[in-house]
Amino acid sequence: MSWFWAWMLIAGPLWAIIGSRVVPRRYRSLSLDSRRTRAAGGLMGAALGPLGIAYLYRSTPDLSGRRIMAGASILVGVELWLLFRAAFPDNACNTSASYVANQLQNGISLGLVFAAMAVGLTLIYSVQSIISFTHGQFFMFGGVAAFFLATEVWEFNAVLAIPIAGVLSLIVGMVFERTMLAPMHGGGIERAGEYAILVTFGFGLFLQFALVGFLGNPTGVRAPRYTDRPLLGIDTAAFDLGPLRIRTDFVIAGLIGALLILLLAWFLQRTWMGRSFRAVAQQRDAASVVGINSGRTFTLAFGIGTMLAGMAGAALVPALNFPIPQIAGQVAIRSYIIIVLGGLGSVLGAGLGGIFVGVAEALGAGCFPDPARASSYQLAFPLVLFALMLLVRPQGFFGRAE
Amino acid sequence: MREMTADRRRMAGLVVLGVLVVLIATSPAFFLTSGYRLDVARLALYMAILASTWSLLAGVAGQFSFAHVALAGLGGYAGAIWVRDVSGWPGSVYGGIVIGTLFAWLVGTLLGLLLLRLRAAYLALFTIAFAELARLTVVAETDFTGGRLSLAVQQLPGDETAHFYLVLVLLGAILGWVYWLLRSRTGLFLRAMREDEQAAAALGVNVVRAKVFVFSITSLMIGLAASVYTHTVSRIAPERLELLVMGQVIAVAVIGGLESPLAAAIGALVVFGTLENLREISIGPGAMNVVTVLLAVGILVLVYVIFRAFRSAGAPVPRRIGRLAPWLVISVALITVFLFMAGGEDGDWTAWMVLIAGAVALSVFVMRSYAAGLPAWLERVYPAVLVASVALSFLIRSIPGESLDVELGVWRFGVFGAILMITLRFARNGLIFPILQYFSGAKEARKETVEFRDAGDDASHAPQATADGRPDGEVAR
Repeated sequence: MSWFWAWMLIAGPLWAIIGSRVVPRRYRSLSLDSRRTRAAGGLMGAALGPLGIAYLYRSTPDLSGRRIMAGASILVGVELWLLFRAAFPDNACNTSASYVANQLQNGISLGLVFAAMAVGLTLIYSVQSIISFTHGQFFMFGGVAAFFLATEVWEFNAVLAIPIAGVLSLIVGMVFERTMLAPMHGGGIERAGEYAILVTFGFGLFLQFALVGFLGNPTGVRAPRYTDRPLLGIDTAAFDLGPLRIRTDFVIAGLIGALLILLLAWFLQRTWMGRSFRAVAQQRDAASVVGINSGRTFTLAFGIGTMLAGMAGAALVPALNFPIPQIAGQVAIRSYIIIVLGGLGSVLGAGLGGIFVGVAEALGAGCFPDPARASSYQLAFPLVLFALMLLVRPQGFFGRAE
Repeated sequence: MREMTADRRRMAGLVVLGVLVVLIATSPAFFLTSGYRLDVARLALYMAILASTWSLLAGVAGQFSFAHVALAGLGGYAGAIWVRDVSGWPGSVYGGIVIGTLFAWLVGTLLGLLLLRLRAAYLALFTIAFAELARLTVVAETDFTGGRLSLAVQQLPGDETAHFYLVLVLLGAILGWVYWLLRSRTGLFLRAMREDEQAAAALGVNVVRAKVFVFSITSLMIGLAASVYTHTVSRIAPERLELLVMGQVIAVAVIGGLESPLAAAIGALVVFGTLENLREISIGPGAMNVVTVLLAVGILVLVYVIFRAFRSAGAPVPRRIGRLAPWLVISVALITVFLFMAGGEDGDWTAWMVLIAGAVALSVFVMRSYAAGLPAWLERVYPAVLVASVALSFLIRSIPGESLDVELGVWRFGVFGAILMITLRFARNGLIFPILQYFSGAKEARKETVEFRDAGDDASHAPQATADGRPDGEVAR
C-alpha cells in the first residue's frame, strides 16, 4: 500500500518533467510556435501522465488559446483533491463542508487585510521601482499606534483609531523617504538598487526594536474590539449564518481591507494626483515635462504605501488581542508573496493575490494531516506557492513579462 | 607632520593590524576571564565569519541573499542531528562537522542554481522566502530537530578557552581563503559581475558559473563555521535561523564596509563588543566605559571641526558649518533632555525616544562633517584624537560625583538599524573600510583608475551617456 502512495507522489512531478522536456522538442522539430509548450507539456504530464503527453505529441494542438492549460490545471487540482480524500478519509476537511466553508471565510477576511497592505507595497514598487523591506514594520507600527490610542490615550472607538494610525504612518513614511530615499533619485548614490534594499531593511530593523521597546509587555491588556462600541449596530462577537460561524471582528477587519483597496483604486484612476502617480510610474522624464514634480510624487507615493500598511495593521488589531512587533518580518513576507503572485505593480492582482494567500494559509493549516505541526507550517503553504511562482513565472498572474 | 609615503603607511597599517591580532589572541589572559565573556567573544567571532562571507557574496559579487544565516543554521542543525543519531566513529563530533559543512554546501549550491534567473530585488525576496521556510521547518519538525525547545549539542573536547581559539583560528583561515579567492581571476570575475552582469558576460565572464560558484563557496565556508561553532555551544535553537540575526549580520557588514570582507569582520567585532558594553551603561562622572570613550571622541571631533571651520576661512562661520549647526543644536538639546529624564521612572519610553532622536541627529552631524572634510585632515589628527579621547575619558571618570546608571535592554538593538541606515546614507563604504584603504593605499590606486576611466570616457562616448531613459519602468494599472 505504501508503494502505491509513493508512486502517486512521484508520478505527477515525474511525468511533468518528462512532458516539459519532450513536448517543446516535438513542437520545435515540426517548426511550430513553441511558446508555452514547456508549461503545457508539464501540466498535461502532471494531469494525465503519458496519455496527456502522447496527445500533445501526436496532434500538436495550437496552444495560443488558454483552454488546454486551464483544463489541465483544473484537472491537476481535482486529482490532488481526490488523492487527499483517499489518503486521509477522516480529515475534517473531507468530512465537514461547513468546516471548509469557515476556513475559507477566515482566509478571505485575513487575506483582504494583508492585501490592503500589499497594495501599498505594489504602489511603492510601481512608482519608485524599489521593494520596501520595511513594510511589515509599518504594518506593526500602525497596529501599535492603534493599540496605544485605543487602550492608553482616549479609549476611543477601534474604527476611529485606524485613520489616525494611518496618518501617523504616512508622516513617518514620508520623513523616511525624504531623508533616506530621496537622494537616490537625484542620482547621487551609486548602485541605487542595493542601497534601496539595505536602507529600507535597516529602517525596518530600527523600527521593529523601537516598537518592541515602546510596547513593553502588554499581557493582560487587550485592544477594544469592533463590537465593544458598536458602530455598525453589531455587538455580538460571533453568530451563525447558515453553516458559517461569523466572527464579527475578523469579518469587519476584512471589509475594511477591501474598502482600502477600493479607495486606492479609485484614487489612482479618478483623481489628478493618482493620475500623476501613474504618469511617473510609466515615464518619469515625460511626467516631469508635463509639469509633474516627480520628487514630490515619490515621497507621497511612499507615504501612501506606508499609510496603507499602517491602516491594515490598525484594522487587524481589534480582531487580535494585541500587536506583536516581533513578527513584523513574517507579516512582510505575506505582502511579498501577495505582490509577486499578483504581479508587481498591479493593484487588482494584489487584491486577488491577498485572497489567494489567505485561503492557501487557512486551508493549508486547517487541512494539514498532523494538527500539531499545522500551525507552525501555516506560512509555509503560501511560501511554497511563492517560490514556485518566482521560478516559473516571475511576473506573476497579472504582471507583464520584461 | 608631513605626508607619509605609501610604503610607510602600509608598514604602519601592518603594525596596527598585528598589534590588534596579538591583543585579541592574548585576551583570554587578561580580559576574557569569565566563561560568559568567552561566550560573547566566540559569538562575535562567529558573527564576524558570517559578516565577512556575506560581504563576499553581496558586497563583492552583488548577490543580495538573505538566506545566509539560514544556510549556516541548517549546517549547524545537520551536524548536531548527525552526531545525535549516528553511532560509532562516523557519529563523532568531527563527523558531525563534516556532515554539517557538506549539507550547507549542498543546499547552498542548489539554492544558487535555483536563483540563476532572479536579479536584485527578486533574489532578495526569494532568499527571504527560503530562509523563512527553513526556519519554519526546523520549528515544526519537533521530533527531528527538537523544535522550539532547542537541541542539545555534543561539544568538542577542550575547555572554553580552547573553543575560543578554535573559532579565532577559523576566522583567520576563512579570511585568508576569501582574500586568496579575491586575488585570483575568479575574484576579478565576481567584481565584474557585480558592476554589470551583461557587460561582464559580453567580455567573456561565465556569469552563470560565477554566480553558482559564489553561492557554493560561501555556503561551504559558513557551513564549516556554523558546524564548528555549533559544537562549541551546548544547545542549538531555531532562533539561529531568524531574519533578525540576518539583520545583525547585514548591519555589521555595512557598518564595517560592505565591499571588504576584512572590514566587515572587524565591524562585527567592534559592534558586538560595543553592544555588550551597552547592556547597562553609566553616563557621566565616575563612569568609565565605551560610552565615555565614544563621548570623548565625539567631543574632540566636534571641537576640532568647529575650530577648523573658524580658523581656515578667516571669515564668518562657513556655509558648511552653518548647514550643520541645526543638527548639532538639536542633538545636544535632545541628549541633554534625555539625561534629565532618564533619572526618573525606569524604562520610560519617552526618554528612549528622545535619546534615539538625539543620537540620530548627532550621527547625522558627525557623518556629514565626516563626508564633507574628514579624510583630508584625518591623516594628521586621527591617532592624536584616539589617544586624547582615552585620556579625556579618564578625566571624565575622575570628576567627583555620581554616575547615571541606565539599563538599555532591547533598545540597543534598534541602534543597529539606525546606524546601518545612517552609515549607508553618508558613508557608503562603511566606517572601517576607509581606514583600511588609507593604510593599504588602495584608495589612491582606485582613484587613479577612476580618473583614468573618466578621462577615457570623455574622449570616446560621453554624449551618449544620458541618451536612454529610465531603465526598468513597471507600469501601474
